[in-house]
Amino acid sequence: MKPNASDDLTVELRREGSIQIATLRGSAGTETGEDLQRRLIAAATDQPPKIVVDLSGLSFVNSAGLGAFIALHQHCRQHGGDVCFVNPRPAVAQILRVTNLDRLIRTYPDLDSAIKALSS
Amino acid sequence: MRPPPDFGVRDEELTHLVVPSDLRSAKEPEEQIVSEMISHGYDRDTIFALRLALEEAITNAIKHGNRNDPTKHIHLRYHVNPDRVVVMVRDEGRGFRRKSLPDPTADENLQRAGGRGLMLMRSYMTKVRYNRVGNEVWLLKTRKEPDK
Repeated sequence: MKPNASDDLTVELRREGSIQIATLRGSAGTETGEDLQRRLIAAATDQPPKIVVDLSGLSFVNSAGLGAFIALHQHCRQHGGDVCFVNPRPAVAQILRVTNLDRLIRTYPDLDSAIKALSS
Repeated sequence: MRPPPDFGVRDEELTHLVVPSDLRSAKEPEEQIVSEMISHGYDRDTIFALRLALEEAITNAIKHGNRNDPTKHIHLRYHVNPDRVVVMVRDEGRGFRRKSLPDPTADENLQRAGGRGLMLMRSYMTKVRYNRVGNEVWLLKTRKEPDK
C-alpha cells in the first residue's frame, strides 16, 4: 500500500434513462472535495435532477468530500430531484453513519435498487 | 507544546516539522506519517482513521486558524511506534472556543456544509486534546482501541 496511492479522484458519468449515475473512484479528501462538488453539481442538469452516486470505488472521504455530497443533495432537492448512494465500502459507510448523513441521503446495496427508488 | 502525559510518548521522541500554510505543502507530512504507519504494519482502518483526523486538523489550521494566510505556517510534531501514533498540529492563529460550535449530527445541522471536522477527530481518534487557547491539537491513535 503506497501512502498516496488513493489521493486521486475520478468521476465517471453515465445515464440510465432519466437517472444520472456518477461512479467515484479514489479519494474524496481535502484536495479533491471542491472539485468533486463542482463536477457533481455540473452533472445534475436534468429537471428534476436524479443522481445515483456509486461509492463502491471510493477509498477515502473526509469532511470536504462530505460537503460535496451535501451540496449535491441540496441542489437536487431545490430542483425537485433527489440523490442516493450505492454500495459504500465499510469505512465510508461508517463515516456516513457517524455523521448521520445516512439519514439525509439514502444508501442502497446495489445499483438496480437505487435506480428503482429514484425512478418511482 | 509538550505531549499530554497520558499519550505515552516522550517529548524527545517527537519529530518536528514546519510547513507553509497551504493544503499542498501540508500533504507531505501526512504522507510521511502514513508511510511510517505502513512500515509498522498498521491496518487500513487505522490508517484511514489517522489520515481522516489529520486532514481535518490541518484543514482547520489552514482555514480557520491561519485564515488562509500564505505567509503563516503549520507546526507539526509526531511519533509513530508499533502501538501508537501521536500527532500535534498547531497554527499561528488566535484559537477558538470549542463549546460555541453547533453539533453537526443534530437534525437541524445535517445540511450545513461544514462543521464536521472536530466531531470526526473525536470519533476516530483514541484521544484528542487541545491547548487552552485552541490553536494546538494533539491526536492519539493506538493500535488496539481501549473501551471508550
